[in-house]
Amino acid sequence: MNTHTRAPSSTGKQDDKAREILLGNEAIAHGIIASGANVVASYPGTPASEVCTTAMNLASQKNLAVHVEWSINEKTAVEVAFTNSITGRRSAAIMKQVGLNVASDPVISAAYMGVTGGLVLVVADDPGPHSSQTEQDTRLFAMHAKVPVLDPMSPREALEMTMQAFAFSERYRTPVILRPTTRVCHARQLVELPDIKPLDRRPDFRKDPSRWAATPGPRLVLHRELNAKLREIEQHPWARPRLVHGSGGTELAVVSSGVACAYLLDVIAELGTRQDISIYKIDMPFPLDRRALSSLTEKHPRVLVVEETEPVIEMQFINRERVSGRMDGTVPDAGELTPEVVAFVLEEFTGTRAQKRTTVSAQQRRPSLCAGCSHRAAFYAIKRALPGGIYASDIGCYTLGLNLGGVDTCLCMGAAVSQAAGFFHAFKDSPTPPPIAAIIGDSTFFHAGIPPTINALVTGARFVLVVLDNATTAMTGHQPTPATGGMTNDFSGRTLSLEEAIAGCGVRTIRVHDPYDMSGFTDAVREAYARTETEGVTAVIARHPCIKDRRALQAQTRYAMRITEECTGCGVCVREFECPAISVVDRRARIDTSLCIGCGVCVQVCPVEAIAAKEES
Amino acid sequence: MSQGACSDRQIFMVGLGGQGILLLARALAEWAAATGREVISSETHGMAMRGGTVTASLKIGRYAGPLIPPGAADVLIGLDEHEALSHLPMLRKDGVSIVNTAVDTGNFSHVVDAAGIARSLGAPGAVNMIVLGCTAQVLGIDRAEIEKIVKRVSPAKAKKANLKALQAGFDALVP
Ligand code: SF4
Ligand code: SF4
Repeated sequence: MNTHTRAPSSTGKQDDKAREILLGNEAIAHGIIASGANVVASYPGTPASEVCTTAMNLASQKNLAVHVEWSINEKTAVEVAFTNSITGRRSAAIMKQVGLNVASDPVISAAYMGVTGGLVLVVADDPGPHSSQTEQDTRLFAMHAKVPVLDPMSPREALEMTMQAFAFSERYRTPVILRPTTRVCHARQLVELPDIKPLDRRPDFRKDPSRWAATPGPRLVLHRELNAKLREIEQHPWARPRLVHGSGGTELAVVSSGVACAYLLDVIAELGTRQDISIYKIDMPFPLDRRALSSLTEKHPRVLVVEETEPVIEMQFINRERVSGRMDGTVPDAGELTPEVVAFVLEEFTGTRAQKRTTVSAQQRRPSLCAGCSHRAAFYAIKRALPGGIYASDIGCYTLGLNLGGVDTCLCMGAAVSQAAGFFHAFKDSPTPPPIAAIIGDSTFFHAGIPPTINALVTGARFVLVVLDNATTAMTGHQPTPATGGMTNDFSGRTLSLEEAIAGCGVRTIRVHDPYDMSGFTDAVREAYARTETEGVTAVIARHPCIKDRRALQAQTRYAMRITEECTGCGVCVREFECPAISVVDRRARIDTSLCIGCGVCVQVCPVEAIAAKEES
Repeated sequence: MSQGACSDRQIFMVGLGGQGILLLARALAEWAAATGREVISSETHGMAMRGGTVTASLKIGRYAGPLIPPGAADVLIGLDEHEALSHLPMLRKDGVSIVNTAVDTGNFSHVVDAAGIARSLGAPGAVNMIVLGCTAQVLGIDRAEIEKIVKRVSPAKAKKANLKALQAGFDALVP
């Protein structure tokens, strides 16, 4: 078999290049820094977060003249990076796929304008989805935005592509998207560390309003220019299918890209196929050399396309009579292409049907807020303060408040606030309108909660805004927020407190309370809600640090917990409060000491006072 | 060409968020790389890490993709008994399983009460390192080699406790 894209069997010690096992995201960060980018901007989001973290660490460890920032959101990240790239310098903006939705405005416009210094947008997709709202395919977005997109299949390839993408971006004066998927971002592989060569480039901004400030007239010119660039890019070797397995003279051919191609190679190496097949890999799914695709269908009577998650390559075949894939149902039209799905599709296509499929139908354990998480206390208190209410919430660890009935909606970043307004308008004329709360995390509030708060305030909506302030962006791996500071590698910049930001939106009543004190917090929410009658939007900040922060955890009082004889086994602490450390076994509550952090909050939940806490020294 | 070649190996790991499966996976990957072989691995990040099912795959040898198909793992490592049981179909027919459980139900080839040992060491969070020690023992991994790696990959504060747990794990399996 042809194995030239598979790894060699031994790493050997042929040269003295440093080799390290890197996470795909770390490899991409190394590629960005080694290419001499001087601006790197990102908003955290799984599966992309580690790229910016790694870039930040590299920049400070090696004391490089690179500006790495956690931007307030993806749109801002792209705008900052793009602008650095129109001064001839290199930049990268990093986000997850739904972050690209937020950044879509500048990305589509930037494609028209082009760049003078390399601009690489790293956009991580999440087929599955594992940690996202959608399975959207950034390659399809790239087509819509008319931006070339690269689809790496492994950390090693992601590193190589990142390095080449900067030169490519400069050659064609266009932004380039690198689209890794979760299985590339969160794979680890031995890679050769690239040398970091600082690029000594002066910023050079040539004023040209017909490009950088184009009005609709010149935009038409730019659009034509963009189309011409894309036709030129179609001549690049990346735009052509590359034979990676087989002779190229077989009846059956498979065209693939990304990690799905890696699975194909593994499946064939493992199981073989009854009929010989040829496998072609596509490095750049858009733009493609369509004539090269047509010659594939001329050469091979049957062609299968295996790609994640939308039929982007498939739809670019001019004649699809001999082509099967997602569009004719040969490949499932949703969900991740795991090795077993790829094997199954391949068996169907080649008529091998080798052996019985093994599947794992494991019941996945549902995630929940950590034991002792202050969000749990906040949700429990909000439910008590606003019984029968509607709780519009948002994206973060706290989405898991749905396990205890504290989250009714979760649409997209910042929507807690606008959905609360929407519910207000929906119910305002009903005889008994339900109380409404918008429950949003600190980082999410800064990201997309500010405009809808102003909007609600100036359009007459009435609800209480609860900002869960745990002083971090916890879900994605504890990145900083504007209120904590540390948004850049050199700690430049001031901080902005939530109080200042909320007051700046025009909100008058802003209460701050620690949700660990559940009755006090309940009162704060109740009072703030009462004032919505006259003030419209009022706010409560639930302030307690994330207990995954070691220092914060060590700083708080720790209690030894005990269930007393009074316990009736009613299960309120499990059903309504849902701390993973508590379970009811044989009609009696039990606290798992290996999970319990001794926060003592559950004492306030038990209706018969059967949970006892003793302060530990 | 991974069929039968004794150096090629696929190791599947499963546990719950917070049990430290990623560090275990990382240590095994570093070990494999140190022996001069290619490695590619995959791990769960994000929401599942909040107490949900967390899996990791490690493929040693000539593999292109990071995931292991069901029925193909040579080794299954379970930090949680229930998760290990429900992921047992990942293992090939005569594969080896090493699982943390207090009671031997006869479902696995090797069991260890890692949680119990961890408690007795005063380090309830070190289940992952105890199971790593057992794994090293079962797979014939050189003790000094794996100790060196655990020293390197452990966060500074956990280094001592991790090493102690690793050693306890190494000695825990009575053959
Ligand atoms: S990581 Fe922090 S914010 Fe997230 S669930 Fe755990 S304690 Fe809560
Ligand atoms: S004290 Fe109660 S609420 Fe806090 S972690 Fe322990 S069991 Fe959970």
